[in-house]
Amino acid sequence: MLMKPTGNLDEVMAELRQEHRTVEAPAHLELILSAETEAKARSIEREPVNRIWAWGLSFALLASIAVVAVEWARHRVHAPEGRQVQAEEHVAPAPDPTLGSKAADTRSPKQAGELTVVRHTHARVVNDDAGRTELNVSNSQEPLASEEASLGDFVALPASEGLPPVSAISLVRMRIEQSALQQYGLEVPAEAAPRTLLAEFVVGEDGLPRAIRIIP
Amino acid sequence: MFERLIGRQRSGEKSDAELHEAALKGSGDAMAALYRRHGGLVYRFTLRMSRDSSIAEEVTQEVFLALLSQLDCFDSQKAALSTWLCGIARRQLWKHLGRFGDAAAAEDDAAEAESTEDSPVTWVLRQEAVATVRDGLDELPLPLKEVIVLCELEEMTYEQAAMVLAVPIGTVRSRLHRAKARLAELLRGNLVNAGGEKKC
Repeated sequence: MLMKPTGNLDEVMAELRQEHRTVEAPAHLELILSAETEAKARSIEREPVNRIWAWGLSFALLASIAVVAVEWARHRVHAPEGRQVQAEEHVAPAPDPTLGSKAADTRSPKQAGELTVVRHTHARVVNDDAGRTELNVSNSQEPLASEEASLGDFVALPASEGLPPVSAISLVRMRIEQSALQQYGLEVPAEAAPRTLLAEFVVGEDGLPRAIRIIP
Repeated sequence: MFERLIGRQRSGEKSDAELHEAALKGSGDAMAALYRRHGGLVYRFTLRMSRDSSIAEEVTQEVFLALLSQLDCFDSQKAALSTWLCGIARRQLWKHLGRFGDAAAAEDDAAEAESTEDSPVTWVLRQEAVATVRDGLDELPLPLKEVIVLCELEEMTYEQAAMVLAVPIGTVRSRLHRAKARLAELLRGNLVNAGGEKKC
């Protein structure tokens, strides 16, 4: 008689189930979960603002990178050109000692269609204490070879009216055919081989060339 | 205080899906209502499986916080919230048991049920049988133990238990059968021993 209620597993399991159901969840977890829920909601509300800041900072960073990249690319593009100009200057031949004065027209260098202007800059002729005439080039980014040269290196063109006032003269550098020097009154031997020279002209305010120098 | 009490009563009338949605919007009362409704199931399951109240509390808290973070995982159309919570609890529990081992001592803090109908001898024998099954339940392998807890103690259907355990229904049935057979065998052996002692 006593064995019957205890021998049935289902009845024992029902007893155990009743015992099991008496266990309740801890009450303090309810408060913790409630607080966590509200805190999480507040953090989600702040998220859009944080996202806008993140996007703004990312955009600013990308813009800065783009500007730096463009400047760097521009620097890379311009740097080889400078070296090329210098190379051309080194290749230029020495002035021909056979050149001499000859009456010629007074066309400006630009009017000689076959000429190529290499560089144009403003310069001033100043007299130092020793009475020498010096040529100062105002464009100091890439100094001309004549920057250190005195005006005495220039050969006055035969038909020119002499050096212009020192207040303002222009210096024009160009690549010119050797035969074209005749247009400026300079004597060129007929047997000279055709070649290109790098020359600098002193040009007055009226735009007429006054003196020339062959750059070696 | 009164408003909070009214809010709880109102939130208690809502469905799990409505409470879940409100909790996602930041309602602490909704989360509290969900916890009151399903916290006991999760805690009992984890406590019975781990035999450690601190692990059970930690896992229960993690399960309900997962309800907030894993927004896309719970679908009220596919499963009941209680089933989904038990599934999360089971996964979290396996992680804890893997981390701490299964060496946690059993904490027998269940209240002793009193019976006024049985005689004292019957009551004592029944309590011995319950203790035997309880101890035998703790000795079962975890896959068999969790089936007993879900299907027998929490009275889940085979389908619900299969969803929680992520196994086919046939597997739930076979595990339950094996678990019950072991417990019945244990119970018979206990009775035999008790009868022998009694004869002596």
